[in-house]
Amino acid sequence: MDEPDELRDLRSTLHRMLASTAPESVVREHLDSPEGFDRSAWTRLATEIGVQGLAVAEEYGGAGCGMRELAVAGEELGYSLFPGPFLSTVLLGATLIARSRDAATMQALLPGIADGSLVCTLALPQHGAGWDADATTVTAVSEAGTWTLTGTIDHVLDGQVADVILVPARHDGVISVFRVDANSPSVEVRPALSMDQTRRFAHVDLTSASALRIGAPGSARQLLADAGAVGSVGLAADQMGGARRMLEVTADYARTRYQFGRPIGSFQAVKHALANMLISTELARAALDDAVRAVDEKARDMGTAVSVANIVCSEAYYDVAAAAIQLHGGIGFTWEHSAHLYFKRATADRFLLGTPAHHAQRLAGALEL
Amino acid sequence: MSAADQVERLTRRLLERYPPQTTGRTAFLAAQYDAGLTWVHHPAGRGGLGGERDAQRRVFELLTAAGAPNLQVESRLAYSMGAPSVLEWGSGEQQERYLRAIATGERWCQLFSEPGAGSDLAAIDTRAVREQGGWRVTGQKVWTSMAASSQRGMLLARTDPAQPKHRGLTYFVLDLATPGVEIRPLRQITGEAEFSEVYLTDVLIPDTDRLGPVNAGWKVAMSTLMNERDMFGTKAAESGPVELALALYRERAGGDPDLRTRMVRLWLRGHVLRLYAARAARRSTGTPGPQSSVSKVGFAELNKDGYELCLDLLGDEALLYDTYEPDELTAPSGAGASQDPRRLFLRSRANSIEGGTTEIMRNILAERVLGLPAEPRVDKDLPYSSLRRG
Ligand SMILES: Cc1cc2nc3c(=O)[nH]c(=O)nc-3n(C[C@H](O)[C@H](O)[C@H](O)COP(=O)(O)OP(=O)(O)OC[C@H]3O[C@@H](n4cnc5c(N)ncnc54)[C@H](O)[C@@H]3O)c2cc1C
Repeated sequence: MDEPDELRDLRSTLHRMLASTAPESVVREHLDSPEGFDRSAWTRLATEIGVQGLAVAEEYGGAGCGMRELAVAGEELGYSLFPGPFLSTVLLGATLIARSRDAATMQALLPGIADGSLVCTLALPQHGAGWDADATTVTAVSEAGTWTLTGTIDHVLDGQVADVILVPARHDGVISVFRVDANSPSVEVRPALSMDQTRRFAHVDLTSASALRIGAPGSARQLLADAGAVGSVGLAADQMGGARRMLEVTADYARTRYQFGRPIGSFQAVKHALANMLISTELARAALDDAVRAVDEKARDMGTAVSVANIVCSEAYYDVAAAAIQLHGGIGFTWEHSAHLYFKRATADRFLLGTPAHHAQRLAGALEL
Repeated sequence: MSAADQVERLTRRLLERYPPQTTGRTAFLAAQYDAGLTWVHHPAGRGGLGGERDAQRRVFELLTAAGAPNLQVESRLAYSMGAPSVLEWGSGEQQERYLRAIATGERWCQLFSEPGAGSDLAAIDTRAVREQGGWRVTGQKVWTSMAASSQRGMLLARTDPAQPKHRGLTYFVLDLATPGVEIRPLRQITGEAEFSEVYLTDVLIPDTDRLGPVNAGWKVAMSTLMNERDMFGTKAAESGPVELALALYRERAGGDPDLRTRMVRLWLRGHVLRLYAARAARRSTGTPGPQSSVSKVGFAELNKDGYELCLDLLGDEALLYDTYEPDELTAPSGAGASQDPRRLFLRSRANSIEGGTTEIMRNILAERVLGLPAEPRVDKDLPYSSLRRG
């Protein structure tokens, strides 16, 4: 891959660190631990590499980079199936906060995100809506200058560990984003069991929960669009990393597993299946790179590029992980093999930030179909 | 009176004389066997009436409606794979003994696959060495479905490593209570332990439990495998994702044109596969042929695509799961187990692996039905002991 030096360095440093701090054995340890991820590994990512602060401005303790760096990090985390709140806190949370230009909120939250001490998530309105602010059912009320929020949001990513939850809510005929303290008594967080065991979800009930508005009134649509674009491309990078890993693992297996006195990789059926995995992964890479460019340049075709990456990377990861199970035969179906963990993530990813079908609709709109 | 009417009449008479609610399970099953209603296509005295295979479906319909046991569901492997192999290869004494045991509820598992031998089943390494009156068996089996809840296993073992791999094999019916048999549950993608690893250490098997001639085990195993494919094909025809997808569609799809087309196509595929299976059942006598791979592949792909559609219909709820508790299953997933679409979705990933992979099924169709040349076989005629494995 012809990558500029500084990106290549970031990639290889992160790759090495994840291989030592978050090998599969550690990932598995946290499949059913209460928090779902290893705090010390998360802290090391922040302090030793600065992953959480990659895109945070320098004045708030970050490195002031952009989508390129976030995508490299996302891809390596996806490659190792790292369980941790990268998508929720870094991609969605930090982006939304930074784009709000709300000085008080940035001052309050960004330094904690950058140093790894604060977990923040975005309670996206769900039900296939992806990052459509209009789908929110939470209402905000202001009384004597303070806001309270009421409503329920289903399966909020990393809801079980979040310190701060960002919530789009409706008030006075507009929708704004608010922040609530997840530990306050009027916020009830009910953890749910996830299909993807390396990512956690929770249902969040807000009953007149006190909240602070972020940014200008009615800015939720724009903020969600911005965070959604960065989140979607970061997710596509995660999918790219997972697909790459499954392709590597399966090609290695096909080289070394013997049946009928031959490596199974010498059978054309297996060879073609692996070639298809490679083709999907390469095409996904092209879509991902283009979406990274579009976000960094705030290009006019950004919406299209993001939807293309979402569809292509979602499908590539799912197809590649499914083929990995198939080509491993009986072993691929067992708990002890890693293929099911990747397959579950690939399956859940398709529903996370708008399904491929939802993005196809957006694309249809962009193509004026 | 037509043959079908006769089967219907005999079944009703069985249910009258032995009402399932007041008759013990074993007594009912024994009476069913003696009435020739366990496998109507078997000869008289072997649990059958020498009738049409197809008529058995009606028997089970009536039995199920009356609350009687259904062996086709409850002891699938023994009923659909063990019994036909015993009928084809067993001595008269073995036929009577094993068939009656299966007919009265004994469960069997299939001890074929090993870590080094899955698709290439003839490469198995478990050894059986001749002894006074029987055989001493040592080796390891893997992915053995339902081993933990079975009484016997269909066991393939190597009896002559000096011969080429297909020729030195012998088939046994192993009593799983024999000392030296150790069953270790193996967890799978869904969280459950549906299959097991089975370790065999100096297990003594009497020669009277050998099925078929010494070193002819491959042929016996082929009969089991052909019936297995047939079973996977027809089993899927019984229920499957189409019903579930229809229910979810009616509840949630809200007229989405894409989902609507997918739903119709799924229904269509299920419908045609059912037509094919019914047609094959009407024509078939004896061991199913390589054509049963059509059903096997068709239903594997239908199940996978169908549960995928179910997940898309579920939408965001697909992000969650019911439970990953490592339960040991006593019946195959789907039968009695959770009907959560997400669990069935994960389970369906095995449909193109278990009972022979889709790749192998396509090879069989291409080579044995279409007569296309086989891929070069480097190991067919070499002595087993000199083969490269891994
Ligand atoms: C849920 C489940 C239940 C099972 N239950 C039982 C059971 O009860 N008893 C039992 O004995 N076994 C059982 N099995 C094992 C099953 O039969 C084997 O897993 C299967 O035959 C594949 O063998 P393998 O796992 O060794 O894969 P391999 O044979 O190593 O295959 C790996 C990959 O290579 C491909 N491949 C191999 N050879 C060729 C070729 N010549 N041409 C093209 N592609 C090829 C395969 O299609 C597959 O994709 C079960 C498996 C599963 C998943």
